[in-house]
Formats: sequence, C-alpha cells, structure tokens
Amino acid sequence: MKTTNRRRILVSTMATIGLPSLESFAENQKSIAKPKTFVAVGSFFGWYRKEFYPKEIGKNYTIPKIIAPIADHRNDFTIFSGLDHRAKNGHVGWVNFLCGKNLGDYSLDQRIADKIGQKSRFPSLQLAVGGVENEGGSIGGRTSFTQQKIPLPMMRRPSVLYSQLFVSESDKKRAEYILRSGKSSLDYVLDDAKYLQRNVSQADRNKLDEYFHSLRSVEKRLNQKIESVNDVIAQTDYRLPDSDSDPISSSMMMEAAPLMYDLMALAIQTEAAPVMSLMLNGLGAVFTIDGEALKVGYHSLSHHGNKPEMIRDLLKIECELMKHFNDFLTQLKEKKDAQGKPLLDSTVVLLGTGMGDASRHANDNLPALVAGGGFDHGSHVSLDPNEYLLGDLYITLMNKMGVKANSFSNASRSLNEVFV
Amino acid sequence: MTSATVFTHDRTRNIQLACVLILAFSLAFQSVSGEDTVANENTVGGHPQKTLNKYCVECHNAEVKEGDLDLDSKLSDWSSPTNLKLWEKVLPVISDGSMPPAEKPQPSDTERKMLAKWLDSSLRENKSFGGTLARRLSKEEYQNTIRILFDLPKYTVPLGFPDDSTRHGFNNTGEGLIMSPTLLGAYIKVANQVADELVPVKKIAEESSTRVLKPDDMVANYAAAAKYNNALRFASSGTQIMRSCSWPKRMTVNTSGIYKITVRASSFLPRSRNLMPKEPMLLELRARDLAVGEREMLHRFRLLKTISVASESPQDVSFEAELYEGETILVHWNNSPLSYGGGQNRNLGKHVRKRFENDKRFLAAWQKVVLENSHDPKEGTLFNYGDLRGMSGWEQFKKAIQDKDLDMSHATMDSVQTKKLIALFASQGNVLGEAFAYDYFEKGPALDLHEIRVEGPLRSVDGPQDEEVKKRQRRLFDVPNEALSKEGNVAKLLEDLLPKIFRKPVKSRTIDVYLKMVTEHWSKGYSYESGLHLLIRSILISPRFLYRSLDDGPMDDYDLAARLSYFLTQGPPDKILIDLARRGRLSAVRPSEVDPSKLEYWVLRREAKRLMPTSHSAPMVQSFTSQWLGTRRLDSIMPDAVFNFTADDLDLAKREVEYFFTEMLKTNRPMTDFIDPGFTFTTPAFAEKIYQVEDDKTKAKKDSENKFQKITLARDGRYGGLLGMSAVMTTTANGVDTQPVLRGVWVLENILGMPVPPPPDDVPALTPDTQGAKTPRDLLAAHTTKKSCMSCHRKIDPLGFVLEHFDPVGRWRDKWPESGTIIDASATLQDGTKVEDVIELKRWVLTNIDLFSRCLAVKLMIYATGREPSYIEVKEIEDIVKSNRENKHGFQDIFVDLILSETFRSK
Repeated sequence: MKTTNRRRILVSTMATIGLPSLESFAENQKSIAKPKTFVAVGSFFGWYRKEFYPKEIGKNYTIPKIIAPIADHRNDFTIFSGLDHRAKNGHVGWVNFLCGKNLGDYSLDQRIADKIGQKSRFPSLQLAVGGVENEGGSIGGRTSFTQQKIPLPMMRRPSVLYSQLFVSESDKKRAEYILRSGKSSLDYVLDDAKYLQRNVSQADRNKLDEYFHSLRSVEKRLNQKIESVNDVIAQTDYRLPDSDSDPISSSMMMEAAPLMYDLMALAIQTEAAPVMSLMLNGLGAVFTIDGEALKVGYHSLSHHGNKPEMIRDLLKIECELMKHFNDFLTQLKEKKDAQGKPLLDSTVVLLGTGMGDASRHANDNLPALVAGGGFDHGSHVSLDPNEYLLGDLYITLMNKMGVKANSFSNASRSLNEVFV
Repeated sequence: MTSATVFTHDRTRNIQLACVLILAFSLAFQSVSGEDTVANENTVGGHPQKTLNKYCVECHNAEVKEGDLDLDSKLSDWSSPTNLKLWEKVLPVISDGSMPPAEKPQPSDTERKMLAKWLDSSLRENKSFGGTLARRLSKEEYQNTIRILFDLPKYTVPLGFPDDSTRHGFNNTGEGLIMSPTLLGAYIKVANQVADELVPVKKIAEESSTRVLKPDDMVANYAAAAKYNNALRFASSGTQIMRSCSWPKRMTVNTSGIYKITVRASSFLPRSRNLMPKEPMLLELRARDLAVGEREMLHRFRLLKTISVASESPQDVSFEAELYEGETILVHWNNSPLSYGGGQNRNLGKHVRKRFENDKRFLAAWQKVVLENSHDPKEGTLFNYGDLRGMSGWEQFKKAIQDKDLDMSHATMDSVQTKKLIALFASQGNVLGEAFAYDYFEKGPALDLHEIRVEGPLRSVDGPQDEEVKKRQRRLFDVPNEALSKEGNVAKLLEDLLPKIFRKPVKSRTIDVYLKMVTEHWSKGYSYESGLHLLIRSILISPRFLYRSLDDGPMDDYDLAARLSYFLTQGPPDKILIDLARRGRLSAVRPSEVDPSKLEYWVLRREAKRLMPTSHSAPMVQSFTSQWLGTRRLDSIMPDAVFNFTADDLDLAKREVEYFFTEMLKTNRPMTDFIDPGFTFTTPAFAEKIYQVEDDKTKAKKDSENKFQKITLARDGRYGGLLGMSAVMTTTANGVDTQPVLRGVWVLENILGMPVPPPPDDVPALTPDTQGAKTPRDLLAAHTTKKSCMSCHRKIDPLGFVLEHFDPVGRWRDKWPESGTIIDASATLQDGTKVEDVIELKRWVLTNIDLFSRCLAVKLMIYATGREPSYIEVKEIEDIVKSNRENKHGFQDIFVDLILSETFRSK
C-alpha cells in the first residue's frame, strides 16, 4: 500500500472543531427560527412503493419495510403518497426529481439557493454517489438546473468535498498567494491603463471610467479577501477513512453514501452551504449486503417484474440506503446549532425520486418524504392525484424556506393547507 | 387568448431607434430619398431658421426647455455629434406632423417640407460617420478569444459569468457592453484559470508503492464478472465496459508514470468438447480514465497489454506500462465465444443458435424460461424480462432443465418457438445475455482473475495533460533562450505575446511596465514560472485586451481587422488579417473593375469573402439570426401538447432559420428570396408535419426522412421565407395561442424596419369590454376604437391578423381553435393596400423589397459596428440597398458592400 497521501497531510494540519461562533446571540433568538438549510436526497431507481407507503393513512400507520430503518424518527417526518409531476414515462424520469414536469427546468434546489444561498460560501452543493450516469453527456444524470436551464455538475468525490469544506493549509497558502500577487499586479495594470486612457477620445475616456471604477471596487474586495483568508473558515476533527482513493465507482455507493451524509451534516453545522442535493445512483452495480452478494445488479433488480426474490433483494438495497439516511437524521438531531437547537429543526430534508416504478419506467405516483424543518410531522399523507401535484409540495417547501412562490412547474396550488 | 397577453407592451424598446427608422422609412416610402432634396437654405417656403424659431423655439429654448430640449442653442454648431443626433430626431417629428402639438400654431405643408429638406441636407453636409462607444468583448467574443489565443478549444467561462445586456436589438453594442465590478471579478477568475492551464502548479510525484488488488477490490456490474472460488470470473467479450469488464473499485493513479503490473490469471475450461475454446484465452489490460462513464465502449480505453492465459492453474505475468493521472486498470477478456450488450446482441442471437443446435434439452429449457415469462400478451412489443436478468434468470433455467417433465416438443431448430427465442436473444440481449453468462460462469469456458499487483510509479512520465501543457507553452512562450537572462527572455516573450493578445502593436512603455512587474515578483523570491503565471493573470485584465479599438484617431487597419473578424467569426483576427494590418494593406484601394472612376477596397473585399460564414453552425449565423429574428426565445417556449411539437422540433425550427440564412448568403440569392424563396431547409419529416409537404421520393427512402436537406416549396404559396417559417411563427406566439400584436410588432421591426415606439407612460392600463368577443380580431377591436391606442395599433394589428393563419408553431389553419370561426386574415396596410392573407402580404413586400433589404442591412450594420447608424450612415445603407436591387445583385453582394462602406470602416 501507498505510504503517504494528501489526506494524511490534512490530518496533521487540522485543528479540532471550531464553529462559526454565534453562541453569544443565542439568548436573544429564542423565537422559532426559519429553516436555514434545504437538503434533497433522490434515488435514481425510485423506492419500491408497496414497501414505502404505509397501508394506513394518518399518524397510526404500520411501518413499511423501507421506512423501518428510520422508524425511530417517525415523529420527525411525513410520508406523501399520490404525488407526481405528470412527466413523461421513460428512462429519463429520474432527472425530473427536482425540476418538475419538464426535464431541465429551473430545479427546486436552485430556486431556493438563488434566494437564500447567495451569501454563503457555497450557495449550493450538488453531490452524487454510486457512479454518474452518462458523464459528460448533454444532461445525463444531472438533476439540478439553473434558471437558464444549465445542468450543474455533480461532485462525487468525498475527498474533494472535504477539501472544499475544510480548506487545507497548503490550499489556503496558494489562495493567499494568488490574492496578494494579483493585488500587487493591479498597480501595474492600472499604470498601463491610465497611460492608455490619456491617449483616447473623450467618449472612450468616459467609457474607460467604468473600467477604473470597477477595478477600484475589485481592489477593495481583494483586500477584504486577503484579510479573511486566514480566518478560520471551519475546521473539524472528522476524518475520511484513510484509503487510496475515493469511492466513486457505482459499486461503491454503499461506502460513499455514509461519507457524503457525514460531510453534509458537517456542512450544515458549519453553515457552509444552505442548499444541498444528493443523488443515489448505483447503476448496474452488484452489491454485497450483510456479507452476501446479491444475485443481480441494482438496475436489474429494479426491473423486478414482481418476482418475489427480486423484490426481496431490491428491498435489501433500499433498506440499506435508508439506514444511511437514518444515520443522517440522527446526526442532524444530535448536532446542535448556535442556539442549542437540533440542526434538524432548521433543516428541511426532502427524500424522493423522479422514478415511480422502475420496473415499468413509469413516472407516476412518486414516493416522497419530508423530514425536519419544524413541520407538524408523524403522518402518512395520501393525496388525490387529481387534486395535487408533487410541485404543490415543493411550493410549500419553498415557502417554508422563505422563497415566495405561487407555482412550481405545472403546479400552482401548494400543500400549505395540509402540511403545516 | 387572454387580454393580459394581448395588451402587454414592451417598454424596453428604444424610442430613439424607432424615430430614426420611422423617419428613414417614411422617406424611403415616398421615394424622395436624396433625389429631390436640395441643399439650399433659401428654398421655397421661407428661411428655415426663422421658421424653426417661429414654431419650435418658443417651447424648446434655454429657459423653457420643453422635453428637456433646447433647440435654440443647437442651431449654430453643426459639427457636434450630439447636436447631429438631436437634429436626426427633430426631422421625423416635423415631417410626420407630430410636432408642434395640435394646440399650438402649425406650420403650413410647404413650411414643413422646406424644414424637412433643410434638415436633410444639413445632416448630409455635416457627415457624421462612426461613433461607436469603446466596446469590451462580449461574453461570446471573450470566450472565443480565450480559446483561440491560448489554444484551449474547450474552455468555457465559469457558471455565473455575467451575460451582456441587449441594446438596439443586439448584445454586442457599445452602449450595452458595460463594465461592472462583478464582471471584472469574473475576468480575474478566468485569468486565474487560464494561467493555471498555461503554467500549472507543479505536482509532487508520489513515492513508489505496491497495491494488491483482490477480486473483492474489483467492480462487478451486471453480469460482467462474478466471484467464483476466490477468483473474479469473466464470461463475455462484449465491448460495453459496464457489461463485460471490471476495474478496481478504488485505485486510481495520482502520478503519471511507469508502473509494474503483475496479473495472476487462469483459464476455466469446460468439460464439454463442443464448448472447448480453440485458441488460448486472451486477457486484455487497458487504461481506464475514471472520468469516462461506464456506458462507454472498450475502444475508448488505451490498450496496455494482451496476455495469453493458457493454464488452468494461476500464473503470474508481469509487464511495465504507462498509467496517467486519474487512470486505473480495466480488465477485459478479448476472445470469449460469448458477447452481448453495447449493440452486439445480434451476435448473441447467432451464438445461442449454435448452442441450441448442439443441445436440445438446453434449448427446451431456455424456451420454457424465456417464452413462458413474457408478460406482455402482444408479441413483438414490449416484454418485461426484468426478472430474467443475471443469476435470477439462470436459476429459473436450472430448475427448468432439471424438470423431468420439461416440454421437449418444440425443441427443434425450425419450430416457431425456437425462432422466436433466438430473435428474443438478439433483441433483448442486454437482459438475456446477463442470464446466459452464468452458463459460462458455471460450466466454462471462462477466465479467472486472481490478483493484480500494481507497483510504482517506477518513474514519472508526462501524461497527456502534461504533454498538452508543454505543447501549448512551446507555441505560446517559445523555448527560453539560455543565452539570455530571465529578463531578456521575458522581454522577448512580451514583445511577441502582447501584440497578439492586445490585437495591436505595443509600445515599449507598456512592455516595460509588465517587465517591471515580473522582475519585482522574482525579486521577492518567486520562480520564473510564477512570474509567467502572474503575467498571464495581469495581461488578461488589461483594458487593452478587454476592449477593442481603444486609441485616438480614426480607425486604423488593426481596428478594422478586429471589427471584421469579430463581426464574421466572433473571434480575434487571425494571422493573415494581422499581417495585412501590419503592412497597412487591409484598407488598400484600387480603381474598381466595374467603375474605374471609383476606388475599391479590394483587400477588404477579399478578406470579407474569406471569413464570411459558410456553415449554419458558424457563431455569426447563430448569434445574428437568433437576435435579429428573436429565435433566441425558442429555448424558453414549450408548445402545448395539442400541437405535437417537441423540443426536437423546436431545435429543427431554429436550425431551419440558420441553414436558410447561410444558403442565402453563400449562394448570393436575391433579397426577394428572403420572402419568397421556393425552398427551405429542414427534414422531410418536419416539412410534412408542419408545412404539409409530401415528397414521394424522400418518403421512399426511409433513411432520409430525418436528414436535414433542401426542400422545395411552391413559390407564391403559404410557406417559405421568413413570413412562413415555423421558428418565426413559434417565437412570436407563446406556445399556447397566437398573439397578433406580437406578430405585428415583429413584422414591423424585423421585416419592414419600422419599429413602433413603446406607448407613452401616461396611457392608462386598458381593460376593454370584451364580452361577446369571438375571435382575436374582436378582442383587439378595442385597439382601433380607443384613440390612445389607434395611432400605433392601426399599424401593428393588421400585420398580426394577416399571420393568423399560422398556429403557434407555424402550421396552417383555416379556423380559430376555440370558436371554430373561419379565420379572416384580411387587412389594410399603412399605404392603403388591401391584402387577403399572408400570400398577398408577401407579394406586397416583394414589390417593396427595399424596405426589407434596408431593415436587414441596418440590423447587420448594428451587429457589426456596435452602434445605431446615424442619419448619413442610414443614407449610405439605403444607397447600397437601392443599387443592389437595380443591378439585380444578391444578399452576399449587399453583405460585402456593407463591409466596404464608410459606415463599417468608421470607428
């Protein structure tokens, strides 16, 4: 095995945990805070609906198999059935998860990030585990889209996310060098530009004033950045497992997902990113669960054709994914914010999918679950598909996050009346 | 149709442009332009200045300054460009009677004519060519420039890079290209990225180590590989890697270098002779770039070594190979008899046929498993074989073959069942191959991989990225001359590099500034490379790079080269242009061959023709057409499902415009062909779907149905030309219903060149009583009954109505969709001409083709020069248009003449 790697160096230079300290304000802010963070977790092949939806409606439902791993938190989430986007059926369904009816439309996470994320270190983070579908393709497996319909790239290496969240000493040095040298070189650029300005027409001189004005403003900003480069951004004693490289192949989904969840919880705690999405891909990987290799790959299992053995193995995968999700919810409950409140209270977590039934590539009736965020939880809410769309739930989530919106994709109703 | 959309006004349109163009139109319309205007202050009707004083200066003087306008002080100085601009605006309001206001004393017709003539001749006398504000590079120009200058063909500016704002209809005009702190911040970011690409941070090579990869450390997707007896077993030689190959789950190489790779493998041979392979098994090891997706085909990955695996007991084979940063090792069995997936399922059909021929029970069992499992009663359509994949299918097969009562009655090669089974293997190979592979996993032949050891890097090598960097550096920076000092080398480099990047010769003062910057950086202890890095970062935020044509005096050859190049290619001038500029040849003239009394810019003409776009995908074609015709909006329109118009159709519609424009330019078609060409470019399928064109010949050949091609349309018909094109009709609707006002405004602006001004601010929002309105026509009647709307809407609405036969995607319809009323598309045009429908409107435009040509020429000129042409410049354009028609020339001729014009050549 290799003897050194970058991560070891990181370990040695890391201090212990240091949060943006707002504790002193805690006393004054006892009123119910607006949720600060939005997390969307999507599964590529959907969730087996018969074991995701409880048979009973309301609070006293019997726990279905896929929900069982998160049963400890049953009063912190709500299950929705009957909602979808009315999107076309077919293979592309999974990428409709956050963008509604039309593939590539301004996605839920980006609508929220554009509103609340602009002052954060990362307005939004897009993460994926279990391989990336059609990497480099036009849209591929991307699920987050800007207002201009640009699909955002997804980060799939935990180590890259880690190094961005917790900037290493050497990265910091480089950043500082770039800032300082860039700033000192501005004087020379300015000198030459002024010389240029003397020799142009009056109209061009006026136009160039825009440039000088901008340059001065940029210089001020550079100064601020240089001053803050050595501020403690966020540090942690959390360490990624020491290994040769990132678990990025599809077969490594079960290893990668817990790492991503850990890092997401840290990102929430350090207020690094107010909006995050995580896509669980998996593709054709043949997983080993509890020491036993499944007969066929995840993709093949999703085409279960209602065969009991296939469904049994598919449920093993989905339950395993839910165990990871359970650990995430537990962390969000245990970790506290500056006000001493559980992170989950100020975090809205959406778990869902764009694929209704992978076995038939049908994209109706999409399983969805919302946790945290201070909603009144604990129920299974079954909605009439003729009345409501999944976008109505999204409108409510947007409103909860402080985004004023009356419509999302093809929906314009909201669930504000049923979900408070 | 909702009233809200009908009465929406676009207030952003520019009133100034509107006025100038309306004026020009009215002149063109009366066909007075130039010929009967006489430059004489004392023409019939009195003294112009006195008349102005009498009717205008009462309000528009230094004290009252009505409308913030003081005409009194402007009368004396005709040399000031701002005064000229002002008089350009005064002329139309005098000639069309909108000034003085009705309640004030009015000049007589003779007085009006006299004033108009006098203003016209004064404006002509006081030539005002040029005046583009210093333009920074637009976002597209900037990106292209970075790509070309630094040899980074795939470079794209980061997400969130600010967009440019549109003025005068285009996003590359001087007024719109504003600099802001945010934009400059983005330039700095890009400069850093480019510097990192050119002078990358040196990576420290990692120490050598040995990694041992066991079967559990390897990826197993689908049935590409499976673990048997502590080995990873392969069965298929298919070429889609996720279905037939394996690679380490988590090993990637961080340092490009030579690695020693040791592979331990063995062959697993079948008991049956029939299945015994005739040649030794070949194990392929390839380099897998982990950034490449798992659906990719084998040939994308570099072959490292082919190993012959002949022994049934594990044997080690070692070899050395280069692995580059980001790569890992891909394992593939090259010559398995079985292959499926990735488009090779026909082979699977052939392969199973042979197996079935040799074993009837085998055939019967597969028949049972596959045929009895078809869930879909309709044969040949969609089958759901989901549960037949992989081991699940294989276990069903095993059960079947062990079944004593297995039905053997159809187990012959000529039975219907066998034929269907083989066909299914050939069509559903991804699914069935995954199950069939287990036959090989369990019985052989199969190939077993026991271990891979990777030792290294034994020494580092340049990976492809490193090679690229070095090549780029050699091209850009040249090799440092060892005889020269560091300073000497950089001075030489600056002399070479700065003129390229700044698109102009550079004085020694500027070179010295940058040289000083680098030497000071070095003096702080930084390396030679760090100095270069800083240099790139700084040069790229200099106004000399970001702006073009920045210096005093008239346009020089370098500015001309940049203007020509950015106009025609959206990129910086190439070597040829720069060389011509350096020798002062770009503006060279000689007597014209046609008319020796005139001088001709023959080099400019030659270069214009050389750089003229010839492909629909040329940036100029895409950028210009989408802005001129508004087809940029197509991206945000999603036609209602009832129109059966998909996103692909939107794309086809947009491409049709681009192909059409390119053809018009390339083949120098007459300007009238923009309106009635007799052809278009699209796919036969689209032509049939939207234009109801059925071509038997293309229909016969199914392949060509979706191929883009020239399609003949009847002349003097419904379709064809800009006024019968799907993209235009779609972009002027909203995907749901048509909006006659939008279409009317569109025709006025983009075909006739007579934009209507936005309504004045004090017009109250209109809530007409539209109860009982059955058609859009009824709805819009309010426009022509309300006085405040009438003046503009009597120009707009008729043109919109004429196009009502086109639905929101440009397909012909005879009835309005909701009421079912027969569409009445008749209208009376501004000059009193009555037209029945779009066919007659097109005929009218053809007889007034100069209107259209002038409109397009002005748009091209705005796009090219980045400014709205002045009065005198419009006159020059009009002369070009007129002579083009008289000489029966084509679009390319106008295009080139515009480039040769004084307007184009003025800064």
